Amino acid sequence: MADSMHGIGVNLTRRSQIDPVRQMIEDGSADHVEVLIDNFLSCEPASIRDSLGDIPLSLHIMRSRFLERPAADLPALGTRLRAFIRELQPFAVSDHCARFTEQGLPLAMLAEVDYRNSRTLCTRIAGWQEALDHPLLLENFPSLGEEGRAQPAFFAEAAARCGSGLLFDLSNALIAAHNGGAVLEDWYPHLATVHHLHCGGYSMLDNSPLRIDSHDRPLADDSWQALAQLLDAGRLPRLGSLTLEFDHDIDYPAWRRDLARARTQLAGRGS
Amino acid sequence: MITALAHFQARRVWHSVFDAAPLTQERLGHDASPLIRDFIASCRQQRIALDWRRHVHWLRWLEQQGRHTVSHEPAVRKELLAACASAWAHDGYIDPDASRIVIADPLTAQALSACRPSRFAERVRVCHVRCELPDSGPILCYRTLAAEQASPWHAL
Repeated sequence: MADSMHGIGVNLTRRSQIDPVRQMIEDGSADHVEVLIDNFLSCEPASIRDSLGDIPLSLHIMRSRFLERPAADLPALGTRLRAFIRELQPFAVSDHCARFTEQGLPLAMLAEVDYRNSRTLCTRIAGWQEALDHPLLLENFPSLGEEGRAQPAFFAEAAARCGSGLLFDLSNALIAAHNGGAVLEDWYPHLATVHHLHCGGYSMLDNSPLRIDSHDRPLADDSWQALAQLLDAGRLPRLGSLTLEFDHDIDYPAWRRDLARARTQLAGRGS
Repeated sequence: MITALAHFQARRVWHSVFDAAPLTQERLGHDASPLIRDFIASCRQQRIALDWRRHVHWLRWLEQQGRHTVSHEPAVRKELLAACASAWAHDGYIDPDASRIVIADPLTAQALSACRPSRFAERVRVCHVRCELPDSGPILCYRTLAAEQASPWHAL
């Protein structure tokens, strides 16, 4: 890895994961931990370090709903998150560009934003980044259809207008391509500047040909192949971290095997 | 695709309700899955958000369906109210300054409380509390506490 400070790591979304993740840190399986900060907002920020030690941390935000909340709410929310950023000094802070509600009601599954509203979206991204007072990475969406084809162009526009970065989720990109959204090649121009990569297991939506980002199983073969292809082609020259995500039905031995395989795959590839 | 998404949504809601309420699921037996679908449809029709209050919405809906054997059982009510309190405590985006919630159930004259953890490795604790119950008739109520200041009772 070129910016190889943070290596290969795991995500931590719930308290029940704390002890197993600590074991993964101690046995060298994980070099960093990405904390889903939404689920720990009531904690004293220093207590996270007390549990996880001085391992590199990144902060992932899932439910800020910064695109949908009243804009007036963002500064107060940003103040809360800044306390964590200040204390934990994460190497990355990331969020999602997605819709969580429809007509005021929560959706069971996140929906893709309408990229035709890019000007409005960018205003919100800039406001949220300012509230956080930290560079913001946005994760690409696992599109369900062709409306996602505009996604790479939107991320380029957001980067140019707001200075936001891309948290490139490789499995999301493959899901989107399978479902009719942007293809992996559409992301190539972005990858030269990508520092942080996500990858997780996906599954099929019941009784349909669609893939969904389920994080409930090990990485799929095509994720490994795509990772190897990107590394071999030198398309990730600034890669600084790879986080393998597992959220549901966590199989810790399988997760460890994936981490070891990723370590082998990245070693000596010159990326 | 719409059918697949509806099926997926039903599965998600099923888990979001029953993972924290196994006794309720047991009491409903094989009826649980079709009931969840009807519950989702009813919530959509009445524009009820399946947020941290979903277990209380579910309890109320069971009552409306005449499932009183289940919905009036004290242990079931306790389980659903505890799940509701716990969901509030886990969601730091709601009432962010509050550290505790108390949910009161006039039917069983019980009150449950959940505290938000102040430490990373600390779990959400839900427990019975003694408190003066609100004069709200049969309506379930909650209040939150921030820096020992209690909010007024709100209907759930």
